[in-house]
Amino acid sequence: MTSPHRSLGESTPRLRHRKSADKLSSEQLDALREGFAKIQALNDRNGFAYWAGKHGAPDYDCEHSSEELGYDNLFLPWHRAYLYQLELALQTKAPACTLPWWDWPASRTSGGVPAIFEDIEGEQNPLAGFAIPPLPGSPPDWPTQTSRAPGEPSLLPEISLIEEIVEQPNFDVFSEELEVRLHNGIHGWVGGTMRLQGTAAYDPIFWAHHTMVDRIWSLWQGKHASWGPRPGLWNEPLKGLGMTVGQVLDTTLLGYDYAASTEDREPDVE
Amino acid sequence: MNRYTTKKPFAVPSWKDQADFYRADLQFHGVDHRGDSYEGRVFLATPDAHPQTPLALDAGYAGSFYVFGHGPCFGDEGHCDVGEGPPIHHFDYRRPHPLRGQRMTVTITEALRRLIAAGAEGVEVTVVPTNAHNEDVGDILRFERLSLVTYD
Repeated sequence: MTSPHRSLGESTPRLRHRKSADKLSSEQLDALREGFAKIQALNDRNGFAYWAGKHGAPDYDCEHSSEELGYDNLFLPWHRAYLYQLELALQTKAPACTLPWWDWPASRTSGGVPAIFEDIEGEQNPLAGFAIPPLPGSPPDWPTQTSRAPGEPSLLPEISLIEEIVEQPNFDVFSEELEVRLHNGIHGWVGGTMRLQGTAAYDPIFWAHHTMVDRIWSLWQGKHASWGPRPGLWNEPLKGLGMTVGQVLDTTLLGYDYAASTEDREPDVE
Repeated sequence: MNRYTTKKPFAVPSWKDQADFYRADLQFHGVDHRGDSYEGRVFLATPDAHPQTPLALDAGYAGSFYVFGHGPCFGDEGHCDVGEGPPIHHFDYRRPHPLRGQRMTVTITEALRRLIAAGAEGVEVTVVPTNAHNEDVGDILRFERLSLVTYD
């Protein structure tokens, strides 16, 4: 008989773990595909196009570094909040869904773009691309469909470069190096619509790319026992996302962490 | 292709009987990212470098920076004009215009050490804009200033 009272275990918030795109179980991959397919069909504020349009056209709310901002750039906090919001939209439609991360170094030897983001013959794969909706004021060459033109896999970053950047003790230098040495290069490597800020987020692989960026920030936080952005920035709002820098410093308060694998056991009660 | 080469080479950063640098960076200031994305490949003492030049120290390759371009503009007149702000005055607390120039740093320690060991009298820098397919990406390379910074 089921107890009318919730057990301690049931009342404990359960973190979700984001995993490598190469290591998803079939259930996890099904949930991811279900989530993307469902939000790609929505045309309102819960839909994929709405969220993709925040990063690029038409809203262009995203934060990247600039020389004038110096070390006040909000590149990492803004994109963490952005991933969090899309993940919530996905989980609304597919509760078991979490965003996977793209293991760039592993892709050097496994053929480039992770297999789950490739076309599947005879099937619709919502992770392979997206039909970009027409937007008011769009230029004549505005694409109607995402595209990719990836380079040679050997041009993807080696693990040693990621380790070198994570070693950087100064957060501001770390953030800039992560952005311009790794993040920018991958956008260019994928090519097609991923290479431009205006269209990149319409490609589902964008989200795995940025989840990897977020994971590297999380690795840096663990290594250096620091959140990163200086406290003077913690009340800074993140444009278009309704959150502040301070709200996104700790991933566990956003309900997720990064893991290679997880397996749960319920207490054995005789 | 608007390949860039320093008109006047940088002075060789080495000092007699003094500690050597442990790291050398080229810093590109005010990099324009309003257009397409590209990779800026940096070569030392290789003024004829081109998109197919091998990415090897022996070929003069020192490293790359990567520009994530903004792409097409959806705005009306002035939308992409950095001069129209923000900020428009001292009390404008909005975030600065997102298309302000960026800083790109390329660490060239190993390539520079090789050049010095070979007896170079100056550090000539060439930047070749290209993409992941080694293609000519046109006249896209624009920046305000280039600095060579070494650390000891």
